[in-house]
Amino acid sequence: MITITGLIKSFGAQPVLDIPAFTFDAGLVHAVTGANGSGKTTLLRLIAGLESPTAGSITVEVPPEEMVMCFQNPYMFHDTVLGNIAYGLRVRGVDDGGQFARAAARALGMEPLLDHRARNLSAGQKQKVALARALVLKPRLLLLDEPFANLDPEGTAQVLAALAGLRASGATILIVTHILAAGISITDRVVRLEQGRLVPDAERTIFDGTVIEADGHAVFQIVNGPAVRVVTSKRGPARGIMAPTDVILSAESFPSSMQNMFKGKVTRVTAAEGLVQVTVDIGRPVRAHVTPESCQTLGLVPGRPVWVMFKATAVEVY
Amino acid sequence: MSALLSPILVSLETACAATLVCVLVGVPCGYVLAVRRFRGRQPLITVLNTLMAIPTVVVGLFVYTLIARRAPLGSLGLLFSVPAMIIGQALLALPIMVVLAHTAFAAVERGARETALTLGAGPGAVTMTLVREARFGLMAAVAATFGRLIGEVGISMMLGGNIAGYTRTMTTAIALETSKGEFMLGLELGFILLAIALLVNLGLRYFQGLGDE
Repeated sequence: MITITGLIKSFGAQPVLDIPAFTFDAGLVHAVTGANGSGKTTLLRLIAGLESPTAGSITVEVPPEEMVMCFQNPYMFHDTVLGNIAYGLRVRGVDDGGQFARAAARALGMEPLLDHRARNLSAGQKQKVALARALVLKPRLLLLDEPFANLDPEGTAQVLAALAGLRASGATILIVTHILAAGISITDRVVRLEQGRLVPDAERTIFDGTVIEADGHAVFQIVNGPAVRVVTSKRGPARGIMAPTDVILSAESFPSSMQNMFKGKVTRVTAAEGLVQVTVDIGRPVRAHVTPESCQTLGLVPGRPVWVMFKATAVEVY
Repeated sequence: MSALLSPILVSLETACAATLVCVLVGVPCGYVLAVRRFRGRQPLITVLNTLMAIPTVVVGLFVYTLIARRAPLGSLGLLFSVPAMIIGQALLALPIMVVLAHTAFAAVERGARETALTLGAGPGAVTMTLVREARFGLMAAVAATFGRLIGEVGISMMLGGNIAGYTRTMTTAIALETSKGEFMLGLELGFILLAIALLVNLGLRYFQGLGDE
């Protein structure tokens, strides 16, 4: 869908973005994470054609009118909410008497506000108007800058449902965010912007499965993997996410407050910013960060058996 | 009665016509200044800001030297006519209109333009959107321009010549009546002028209020 080749973007001497080659595949939801000022927004603006690359190229496979970008602090036209949502239809000469716009507003719970002046809304409501304004156009590529930043849990759920609907239609969605957790349930690929480069997110462990009730506890049955004890009120299909710093590696099992203990085998050992990232297969890969000293003491090399432990609360369930 | 009515009508006619010229020329100029990036743009904005404070008599003198009987454009016979006053007033207020239109467009330029672009608007639709978004600022610019011109005296006197029933405006009439000692007529015209200025300012406040919404 989006092919980046030899991209360099500088605003001064130092390049903000330096991406030799990267492809965002069509039909998937991509999340781009990274610290503030890592160039996430610049990347989106480049893809949207609002900025030109200093060098290299970005090829987008859809025509500009089928691509829509939503800004983090969206601009509201001096008009009603309905007028704002119908804007893209108006410039395309579509006159449906506001039907599509009403449907898009309904999906995001904005219907009662249709006649309000858009500029008087709260930041979260403006973000929903901006999303409705984009969804009404049924874009094949949707670029979202921090779409969950100002939303309450209900708003987040409405936005996620709307995005899931768009994904089901085969659209490609690119979400730029520093709060990955909110969008993780609909995300297919996570990439990180680090020092101006896009790298696949190889840190967090993400697994899909089903949360079931067993002996009054929540148990996450991972697809083609082990069952993990979690803490959540959710039941049914879910996605779990676990930070590598929450995973403990040990040569032997020992009694502790940790509910999850699995014997596995080290498959990969790589350096990770002063730490060592160890991938252990426990029926599916789990990633842990340990200090170089621990790595040496435990003798962590590929093929070595090791215990993997983590608390039930270490897994965030969405 | 015509001693009172005629100057009012001449004042309104002159100021309205000059404001219209300023809108037709100044709004597109303000748009270009706000949207396009070209060499000399910043110096030009500085010059326009300076010209906003130009004394009316300087503009009067400048136009006089162009349209006086023996001047380059003297053959047009414009001196001491309403069109001469309109030309002078339009030149006086054009920098005000351009600067205020630029400010109105600049306030919405980036957000509105990028939003329109990312929602699939073509170049024509983007321009229409920007004019629509800047409409309250533009209305305020029109009100400010008109307000500057309705009370103007230097140009009206120098280029109009204060001819009774023809180029005598409210301000030149007040100046004349006062010098004749006819304070009553001067005061009446003065209050009417104040009332018009009040209306213009109420309009200005109204549009600025709408823009803040």
